[in-house]
Amino acid sequence: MNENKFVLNSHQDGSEWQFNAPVMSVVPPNASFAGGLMSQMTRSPYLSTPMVDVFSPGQWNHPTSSPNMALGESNFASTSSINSIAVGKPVAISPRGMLVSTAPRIFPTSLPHFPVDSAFVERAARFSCFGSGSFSGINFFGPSPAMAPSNNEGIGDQVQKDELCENKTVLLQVDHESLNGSTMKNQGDQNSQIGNGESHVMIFPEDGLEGNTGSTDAALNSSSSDRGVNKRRKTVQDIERDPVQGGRQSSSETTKENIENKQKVEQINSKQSEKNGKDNSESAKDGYVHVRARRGQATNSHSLAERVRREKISERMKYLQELVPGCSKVTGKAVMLDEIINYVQSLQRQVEFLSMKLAAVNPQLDFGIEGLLAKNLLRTHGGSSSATGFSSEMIYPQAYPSQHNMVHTGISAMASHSDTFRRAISTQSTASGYKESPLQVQQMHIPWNEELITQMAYGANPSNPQNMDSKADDFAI
Amino acid sequence: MDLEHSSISKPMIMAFHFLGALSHIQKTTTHSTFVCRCHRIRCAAYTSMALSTGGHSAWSRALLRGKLRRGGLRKRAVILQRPRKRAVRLEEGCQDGADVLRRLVPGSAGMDSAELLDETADYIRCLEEQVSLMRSIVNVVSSL
Repeated sequence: MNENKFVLNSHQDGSEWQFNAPVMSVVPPNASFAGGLMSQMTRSPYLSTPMVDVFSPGQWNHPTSSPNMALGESNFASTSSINSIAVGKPVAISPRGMLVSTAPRIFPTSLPHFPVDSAFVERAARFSCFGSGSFSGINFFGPSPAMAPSNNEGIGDQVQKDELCENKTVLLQVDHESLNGSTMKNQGDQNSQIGNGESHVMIFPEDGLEGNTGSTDAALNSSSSDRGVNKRRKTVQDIERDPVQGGRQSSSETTKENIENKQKVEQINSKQSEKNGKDNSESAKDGYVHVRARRGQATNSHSLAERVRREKISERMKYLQELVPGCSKVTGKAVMLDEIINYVQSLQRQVEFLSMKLAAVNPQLDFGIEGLLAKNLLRTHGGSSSATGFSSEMIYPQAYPSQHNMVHTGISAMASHSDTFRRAISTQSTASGYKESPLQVQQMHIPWNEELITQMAYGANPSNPQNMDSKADDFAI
Repeated sequence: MDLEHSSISKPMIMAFHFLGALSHIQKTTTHSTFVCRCHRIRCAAYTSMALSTGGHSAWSRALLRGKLRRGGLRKRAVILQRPRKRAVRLEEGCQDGADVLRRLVPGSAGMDSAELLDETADYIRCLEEQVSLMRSIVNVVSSL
């Protein structure tokens, strides 16, 4: 069910709830505006069942065939008288006149510009959702702009179309936000791009598309109904032709959000994903940055760079989410940041606590362990003792070339605890005051639970990183 | 220079240095107070942590820079000088609300959010390894 999918999209990311709230609030009030027929359609904030039929391209050109259309028309007729009712809500539909009229409280009084014509209604319905707003979310829009009008047409009810538009825009924006992981700022941008104070309801992008030159974009951008209609039909036909290619195209994209978009959209509708693919392929005009502007998004350099930056940050946040235990369910940058900060602080506190413990037990024990370590390292990394002395030296400079000197002191420290190092020591001058102490290995017959000492003592191959990884795991208690 | 030498695992390097430092501290601070020893062990822990990363991360370089300076090895501190190609950028990337994180992770003051998150991830990983190493040492030592 599409509406289930819509719900799914909007629920996927906790961060979007912040956006959801303000956005979704638009819908119920609008729902209350409609007459009885409207209420049927607006029972749920999401698209109702009849809308499902609309998604099929077949109904695109035959809105009259759908039962909803008849319903809509009758509804329209009944509500046509409401044209002049002023509305304080989303404006994007207002230029369309017709559509606005059916949802009286939603649209401004500038309605009765257009003749009441069923064909016009179709076109207007189609365009109502493509008002002068910038399109923020594409995926959802998956059925996306091309589909939206078709949906409207299918229903045939202006009010319903408006509702759908609003619903879709709402959902779409929500989904978009979720996909982006964007902040309120992003939404603010989108809203500002919309050009009217209102809204998040009327998202439709077309005007927001600056760099897109594809036919679909041209279609969407066009404000003239006929041109738009024709082009939209073509785009729909394109969609019908290759429903899956869009998905394939988007799979090749580099941006993560596009991939996410594709996945989400495919859940809903393959055509939707295809639409995304088309948008993505069209908008990849900037080869410099490997980011494809999604449909309906401004493609100027600033927003692109911002989007890239946001994607990078969200990518890293996801990685951090895996790193920090117990944060897989946390969503939202702020909460995640708090969790990360807490975790880092707790780790630092643990280090302090453990160092206190070590300081307490230190005098009791001779740390000859490092002798074992050194021995093992030498054994596996060098033949002759003198050579081993140098080879162990060589190890570190490779590991951290910038700390050559530190390494020298470290190695000489180790060397002081092992017989094999003694010759090496003599060949180097050590700045540290490490004394040579008898190797206290015999005292260290410790039944280590960890395999570290046993492996070290018996010449386990330290060059095998996996050994140490398992040892590192053993360290954890 | 055998290439295989560079394949020594990070935890091993960390253990190597940390244990060496521990033994050094143990030998040289028999007269010191408990608090002083604590502090030195903590320093040793962070130093071995920073050493184990091989200087790839900014936080490790910052840590070592601080330690070297404190140790008076000015010449060696020069090695770890971070190239000053980047001034502190006060763009929006820096004003992410992650200032607490910047305080926590050493050497991350002049970074934007993306790099900061990278550094944080690296820092967290190293911290975890260090904590596990110290815990195992404590276990071993206390079970003697």
